[in-house]
Amino acid sequence: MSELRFNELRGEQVAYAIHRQDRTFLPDRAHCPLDATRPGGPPTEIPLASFEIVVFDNRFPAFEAPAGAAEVVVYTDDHDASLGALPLDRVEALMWVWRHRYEELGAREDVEYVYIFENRGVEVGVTLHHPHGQIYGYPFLPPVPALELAADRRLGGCAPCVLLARERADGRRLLFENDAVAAYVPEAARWPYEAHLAMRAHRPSLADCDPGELRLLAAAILQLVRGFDALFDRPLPYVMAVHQAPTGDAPRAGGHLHIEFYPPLRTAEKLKYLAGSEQGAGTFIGDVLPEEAAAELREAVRRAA
Amino acid sequence: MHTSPFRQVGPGLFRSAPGPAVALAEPASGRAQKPSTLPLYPAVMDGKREPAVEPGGSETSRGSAGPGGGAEASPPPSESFGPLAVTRLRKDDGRWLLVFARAGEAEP
Repeated sequence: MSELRFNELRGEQVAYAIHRQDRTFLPDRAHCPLDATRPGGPPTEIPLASFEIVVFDNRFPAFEAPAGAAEVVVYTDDHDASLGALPLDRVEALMWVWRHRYEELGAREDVEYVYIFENRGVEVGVTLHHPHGQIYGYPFLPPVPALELAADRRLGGCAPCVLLARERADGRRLLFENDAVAAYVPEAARWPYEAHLAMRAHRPSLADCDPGELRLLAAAILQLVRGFDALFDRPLPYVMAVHQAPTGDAPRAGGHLHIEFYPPLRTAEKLKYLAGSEQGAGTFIGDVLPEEAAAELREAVRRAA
Repeated sequence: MHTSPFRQVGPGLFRSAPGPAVALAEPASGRAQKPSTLPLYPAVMDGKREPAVEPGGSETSRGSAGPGGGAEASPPPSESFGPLAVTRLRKDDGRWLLVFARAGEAEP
């Protein structure tokens, strides 16, 4: 069982999950726990010979009942695939899986915020290479979505709606858009090639999207991730963060479905580290102007098409 | 005197206190709300199942744990969700495994 302690100086929760210290760490190819269980092969987390998408309780949960949840979402039984390499139909199915989990976990008494994410690449701490994401059901509203609600109050309405309108009016940081989703580098991006996908219409969560919007969201994810990989002609590490409306009892309004990508590279070989200013003062120091990053990403998306 | 914005809800566990309401656009009808009308299945905690909660149950009885969710003694082997068929399996150690497949395609 994890333990939460409140850090008074930061005004935030810190979760201690000491059992995770022993979690599986970069196993060799033959012992991937997210592979299907092949006939005659070693058992894995998934006792099936093949599968499309599976979700299961994390063996090493940061949060678990009766105070939250931690789940693993395996995108495919192809160990060597990646999110960007999946066909559109599979990513569309993944949108429905995310929606299923958002609705079911969000309905739980002990879950205040459903957070879907993916860590890709050892640079961001991935411990299993098999293409997968995770879902945390936080038993409290975490700081980042709380800040987004504060931005709503500051801007006098839905902050992502306001910011998207600004980006579309400006145009310099727009990457692409389809009928439901716009991709852009935010004006004050914290990471060198940070990019956001935002629903063009106000949609608090995946549960508010119609099937056509979910398919267009899947298409936009593929377009951006494939562009990321074309940027430096290598698989680009990133953290993918799906932000939706909180599900807890407290802030019943607020939230706008958008997906934030934080690639940690500032060049093909150099990492952007979170160092003194970022960690100790909370101020990111940028190495690339968002307008220039957007121009590079637009070209990369074009090459990947 | 220090006062935490979090109230203690159990040994070492805290829950954020309700924040100020935020007036925004009308929530769409599909948004996740509690209590759930979704089918809920038995949770596994310390090897025991939680008390069953009927879908659409009362405010105080809602919610449960795990991908298995909350309540009914015998969960159906498969359900539909959008274009997907969802099958719930129990792993040997009690954890839940949800298998998603395009409806009409092969299920485990």
